[in-house]
Amino acid sequence: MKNRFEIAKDIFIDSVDIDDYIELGRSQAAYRKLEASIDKPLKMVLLFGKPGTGKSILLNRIATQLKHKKEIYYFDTPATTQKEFFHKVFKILTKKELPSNAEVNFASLVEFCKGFRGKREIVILLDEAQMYDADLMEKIRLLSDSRAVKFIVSLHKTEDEDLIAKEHFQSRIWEVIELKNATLDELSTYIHKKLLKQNLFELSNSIKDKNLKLIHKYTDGNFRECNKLMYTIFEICEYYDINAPHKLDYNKLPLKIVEMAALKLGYINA
Amino acid sequence: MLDVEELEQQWKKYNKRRKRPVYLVIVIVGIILLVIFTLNNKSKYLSNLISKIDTHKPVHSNNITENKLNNKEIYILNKYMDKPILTNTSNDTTVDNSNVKNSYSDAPLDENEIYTDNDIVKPSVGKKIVNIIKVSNNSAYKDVERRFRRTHNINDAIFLANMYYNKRNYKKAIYWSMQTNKLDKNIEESWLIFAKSKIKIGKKNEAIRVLRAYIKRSNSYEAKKLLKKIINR
Repeated sequence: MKNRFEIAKDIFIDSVDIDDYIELGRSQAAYRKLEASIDKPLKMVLLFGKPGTGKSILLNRIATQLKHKKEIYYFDTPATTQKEFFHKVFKILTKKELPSNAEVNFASLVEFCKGFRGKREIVILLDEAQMYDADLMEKIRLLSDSRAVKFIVSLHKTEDEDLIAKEHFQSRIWEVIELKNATLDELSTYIHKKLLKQNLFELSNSIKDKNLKLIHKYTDGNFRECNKLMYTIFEICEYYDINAPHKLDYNKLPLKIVEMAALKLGYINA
Repeated sequence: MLDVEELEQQWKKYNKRRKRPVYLVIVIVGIILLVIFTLNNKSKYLSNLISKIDTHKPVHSNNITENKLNNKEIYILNKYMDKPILTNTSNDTTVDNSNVKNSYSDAPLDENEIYTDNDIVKPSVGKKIVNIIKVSNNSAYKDVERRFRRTHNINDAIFLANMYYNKRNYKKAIYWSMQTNKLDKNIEESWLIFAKSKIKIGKKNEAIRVLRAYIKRSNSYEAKKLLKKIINR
């Protein structure tokens, strides 16, 4: 039987599984905004934010929630080539497999899209869109111009924000939804809700404000970093629980353990 | 698998490094407080001392100054001070300190031999360097006496005459003024202490006789003044 620290550790394994989705005020607002954008006659919607701010899980959630209402498709991993990308799009649009040696004629594809404008409304969610090159992004834009396919493009907020900076691209984005790192309150809710979801009440109570402040300080409110840190914290707790229980305060998570985890992950240096 | 033991060592190092500035601040604050405390104490002592030293009344070699003395604490200023002998003012007893400057400035007392409570302070009054020797009990006088027997230094003798007079030990004051007189008959202070001590023990005639003899010898103004005072009593 797993001990409680092992269970807690596993909770914080980073995933985009919607079962792990924690509703927070801001992420709920982003979800509603995205849902509303999909309903509007917009061609492209941009979802952006730093890595680990919850973009993928939000796209996954919206795809899952709306799949019975709309024709919605989630491209979680970017296609490595244009050919592969258009094969996937062709399959969605025509609902037919294209022979692997065949190539999609882009102009014909656009014309085909225009043909079912007003009859079908297809939503394609593109995650990690910063991986697509400019040429492909331009073709995506042209497809969205057909008004038969709507693209929700999710990308990292990079230093130079290259894609967004390109005027031609920017002018075609009708809605921008930015996801930000969590505030201290949000991160506290996130951690507690995650633990409570698995009925780890005592463990949740043992994480005090001081711990949360420190966790927020180290992770800057980034969910992915927070998951990593929490995982390491519970990994250390698990070790102590088995090998040196006297070093563990079961009522209060020692700050020392948070700092040890931060050392391990390189947030601080010895 | 995490190497928690190794991580713990790293954390100890980190914790030590993190606390270093805190320790540094504590040490700096401690030093500052210590300096403030020391300076405060020093200035208090100095102001106390300055209140004891009446620098506005310089003592000249042939002048008679009246000082009120404390039997327990007598401050002796060494050769750098204008006023070689200083006394705390608390008694009604009076003493003449004539010729003190010369005697003490030429051959100052051996500090190690004279003070007993190791309470030596070297404050600076204005630009003058002052050595203060605090004598607080009789064993110090015994030491000076012993040294006098060894060296026959006139400064020791006159010092003892003065001190015993201040301590109202008039017989010893007479003895040490005589010792001074034996070594040098021209030291006015020894004559005056002798005469004043005689008066104190009720031998007024003897005092008058001695003073007249000294006036005849030196025509001393101070001796005349004292004689007049005795006669008019």
